[in-house]
Amino acid sequence: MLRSCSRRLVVYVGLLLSAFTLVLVAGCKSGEEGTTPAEPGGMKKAVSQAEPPAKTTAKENATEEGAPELKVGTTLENLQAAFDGESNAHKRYLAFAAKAEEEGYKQAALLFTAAARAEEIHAKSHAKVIEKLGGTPTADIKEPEVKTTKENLEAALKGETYEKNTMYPEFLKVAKADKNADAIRTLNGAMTVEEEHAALYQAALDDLEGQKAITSPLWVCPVCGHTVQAQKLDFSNCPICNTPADQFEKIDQVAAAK
Amino acid sequence: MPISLPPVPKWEGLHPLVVHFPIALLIVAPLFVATGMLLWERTRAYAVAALILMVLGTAGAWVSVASGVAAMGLATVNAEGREVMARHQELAMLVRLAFSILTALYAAIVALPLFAKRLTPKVVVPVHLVFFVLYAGAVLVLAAQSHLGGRLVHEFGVQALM
Ligand SMILES: [Fe+2]
Ligand SMILES: [Fe+2]
Repeated sequence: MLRSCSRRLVVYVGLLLSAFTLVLVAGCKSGEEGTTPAEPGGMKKAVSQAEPPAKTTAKENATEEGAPELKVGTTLENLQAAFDGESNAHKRYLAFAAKAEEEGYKQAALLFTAAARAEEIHAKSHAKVIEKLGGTPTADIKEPEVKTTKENLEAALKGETYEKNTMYPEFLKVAKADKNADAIRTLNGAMTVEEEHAALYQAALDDLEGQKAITSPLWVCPVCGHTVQAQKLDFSNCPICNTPADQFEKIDQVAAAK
Repeated sequence: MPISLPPVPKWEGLHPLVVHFPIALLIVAPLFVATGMLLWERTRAYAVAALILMVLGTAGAWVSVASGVAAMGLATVNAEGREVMARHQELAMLVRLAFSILTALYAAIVALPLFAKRLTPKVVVPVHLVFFVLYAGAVLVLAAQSHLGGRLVHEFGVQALM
């Protein structure tokens, strides 16, 4: 008797929960569909993939004089621009690393090598999202302009500052309005890492003479490019993307420029 | 005015929707544990209710950590905010582990009568008191990590993908 009662109770509760879940999911779906026409001037329409926003420039936001003029387009166009930038930065930093090695700035050479690897990771990460959006990643690789290591560090700092303060924040705005999680993740990760690169370049410039001896290796996250200059990593997972620290790449040798 | 229901959230945006459930369930559960202890000899219903709350709360903790990890790459924060986020994650994983162990422990307590039919208050009360001390420690960690989550939202402006 008791057993059949409890069996019935389980069935009733199960049915009730299923009905509740169905109503909730159906309600949420209708709510989702219902919001689109109700918001003619809403954010969704203003920056959707299907209807790209009017091209805008954000040169006025650039913190460095002579920074390139930024064209903000759709998420796909922005990712293409970011892919181009990261691919060129990779090549440029490898050339800077070789120059630093030649001039005897060994620590700076390691820094450029690590940054080059991080930029390569950013480029690959952007490329994956571009492909997901139906595009083909393309980059116009230019021959890098290599000067003295001090000038190269200054140029690198300028490039990173432009990316972290202007380019990525503008691209992120569009990706966030698009609610594109993949694009937000890759742009956000790159922006965070460019900030680290800028700080590392600034520190190297502040102690240029100290760059002549190797004091510490660098570590690069294989997923987001998180770059750390330290003897050992003091975290178990990447603070940006959660990749285990034991998967980080140790940079203790200068890479050959390709 | 028509009711507009929220859209079905993406996995990366689920974190703020799920985190409050385990907090509430796991904080309410000890009230049922205490009632279950007091009425141990008359009914086991409160103990079972406490166990259900703990199972649901712990399952919620697992979903919260997983959805939090999915959301972390989408958060734009400064270096200080990233440190807070790392600590938040570290404590959340500790909370998940602690409540998984506590739930298993309480399930064992609830199952005790199956193995020893005559359990006097002399055994039941001390066992519960030890459990309460351990549980209180886990609740403190839960409170600390929840506060860090609150700081991320209200101090560092972290927003979920909605
Ligand atoms: Fe980069
Ligand atoms: Fe990472």
